[in-house]
Amino acid sequence: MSATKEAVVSSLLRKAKTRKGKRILEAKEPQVHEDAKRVLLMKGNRAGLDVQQLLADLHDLLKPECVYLSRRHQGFHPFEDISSAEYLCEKNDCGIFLLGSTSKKRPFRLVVGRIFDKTLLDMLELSIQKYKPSSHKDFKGVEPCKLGSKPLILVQGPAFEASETMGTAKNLLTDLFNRGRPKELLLGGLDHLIVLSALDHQHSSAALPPSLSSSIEQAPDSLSARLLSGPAPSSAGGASRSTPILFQHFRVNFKKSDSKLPHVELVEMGPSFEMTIDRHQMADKDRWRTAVKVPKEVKPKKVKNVSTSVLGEKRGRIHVGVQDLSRLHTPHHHGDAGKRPTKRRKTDTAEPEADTAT
Amino acid sequence: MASESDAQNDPMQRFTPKRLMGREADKADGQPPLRTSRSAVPEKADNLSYDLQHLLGVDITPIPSHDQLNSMTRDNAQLLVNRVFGLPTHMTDEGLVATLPTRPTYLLPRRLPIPKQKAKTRWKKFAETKGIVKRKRSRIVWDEVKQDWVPRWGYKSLKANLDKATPIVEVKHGQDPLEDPFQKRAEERQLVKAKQKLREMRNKLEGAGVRLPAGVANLASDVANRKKPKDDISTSLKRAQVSTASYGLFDKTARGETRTPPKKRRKVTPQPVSDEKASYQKTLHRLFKGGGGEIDRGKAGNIATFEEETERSRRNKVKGGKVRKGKAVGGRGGKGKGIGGKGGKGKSKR
Repeated sequence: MSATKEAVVSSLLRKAKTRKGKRILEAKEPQVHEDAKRVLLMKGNRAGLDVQQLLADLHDLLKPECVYLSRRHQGFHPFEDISSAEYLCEKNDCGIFLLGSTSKKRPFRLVVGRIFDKTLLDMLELSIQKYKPSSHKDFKGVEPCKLGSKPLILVQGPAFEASETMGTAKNLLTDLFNRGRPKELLLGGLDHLIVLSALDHQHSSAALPPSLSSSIEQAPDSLSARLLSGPAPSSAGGASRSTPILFQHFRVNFKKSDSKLPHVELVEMGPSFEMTIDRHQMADKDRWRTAVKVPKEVKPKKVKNVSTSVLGEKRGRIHVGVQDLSRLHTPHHHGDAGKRPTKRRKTDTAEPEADTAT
Repeated sequence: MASESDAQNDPMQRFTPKRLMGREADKADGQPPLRTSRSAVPEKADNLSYDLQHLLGVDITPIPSHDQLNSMTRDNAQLLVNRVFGLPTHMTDEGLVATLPTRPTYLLPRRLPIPKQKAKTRWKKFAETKGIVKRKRSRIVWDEVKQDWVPRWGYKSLKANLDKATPIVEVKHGQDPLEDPFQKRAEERQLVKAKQKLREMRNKLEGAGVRLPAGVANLASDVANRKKPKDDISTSLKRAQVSTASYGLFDKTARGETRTPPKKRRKVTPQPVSDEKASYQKTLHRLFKGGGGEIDRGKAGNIATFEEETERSRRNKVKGGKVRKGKAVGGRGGKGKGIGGKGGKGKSKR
């Protein structure tokens, strides 16, 4: 513990020597409005051609807010030791890491992990099947999307709500593919859509149409794939029968319609693949709660005394103060001069609050 | 989608609605439309949940079959796009720009925790209890020597000019005539700077919840700066005597060694102005009105009469000689504050 205390002290007393350095250090401090997390893409100890191709595809998709480390990382097993992943994320200023690897037991794996406050928050190991790279003949001739354009994201299927693991997968994948945190969006610039569909077992892999089941790696159906890839993966989390998640990437074309809104046409531009959750590490509940806290500055301020009526009229209530009745001009009655105004008149005029429509 | 226009052109196909699916079939059933127009309203009911900050649409309805997945995806994409286009927009040079909502509905975790509020420095804490408010000081001040406005600090400032304007410093009585007064002043300034730096560092660490170790004797510097060597040794000895875990309780005493019992540390907490004033008033009230129980008025009277009598007997003994004036009992000597006078600054009278 003393080492960490020393680290805290040294980091506190660390002072930038230049203006630029100061700005860099300030940018590394916690911010109220955070940008999208940068993604770190890495290759594991062994990475087959398909793994490398997938990482390249994802790199293209996530550009420019990502770092691709092309060097192989020896002995990098995040489920056994997370420290090197945390270190590399810290060093490269990244919030999510993607590690692609090949092994005899786990032939085509992608580990997706998230970092919160310099340590791991949650992590999933995805087994990839039916991978079609974006260079596949099915996707030929499709105009690529612009670099760094924000994607639309669709998450489909009830299975995402069925289990905690699938909920994590939904959150993690949304976090991964959701790029940028713009305040404003150029509507004409929308050009691609990412779809994550949780396929139920009845119409997953085996029931896929021939166009989708033709893949680089001729993966067998999900059941035999599980048999081939060794025992049921229950080491870290115990995902029994994981629902396959289909990843698709579409180009969005807007066509004129009979209304003001455009008609949407989708053309698949690749890559596409199916993933099942293998090992996983869920977030600690307390840490999760602190991680999803919304800063006070982001929360909208409560507007008082303004309401909207049924007809959509905005109504504001204002306080006009107490009326000074002693200076009220009343008709002069010379006969009863000096007498106070009658009580009836007083109640007529006293209206401290009034409704005014704006 | 391209088949739609073909279908409407070909009269044979127009009346075979089985070949068309969904929306196109409905259109083909009725009167043929004048122009080929696509609808922006999908067949599907809008049962998605959205987070438009992330441009996210979530559909939890079951996926009917794999063949229908693509049409379902398109319909959902249409619904999502309709929502995005329904956001408040404004026109720019590049085109129509939508303003995205600032608050997310689907929470994604942050990368770093929410920034903490800056910890208050020792001075700020003290100033708050005392009600001291920072006032803005003007950046420039009038320089009497230069007869001009000059900066308060920094280059060509009032202080710098004053230093330049005093080339001679008188050696006062008891000062070392060989000492360089300018150098001495520079050294003092360095010391002040160093102390301030230490304070800043301490505030930073204390703000982060790190406790600094208590001060220890720096004998080397003490020896170098010593003026009264004996005092110095005795303070060092005192420090050493209490520098064990038991506060020196179980230590053997050397021959001739004296020990002073450790002083009880008085806890000084900064008082708010109102409390301070009240406590002073209470004391004064007690003194003048005799309301409190601490002063025994009878006893005080006895002491006064006793003193008076001894004085008189002394006067009787020394006949005709000049008698020194005795202390007037009960009188107020020196400066003092009356009741209800100006008691400190801060709160105004009600």
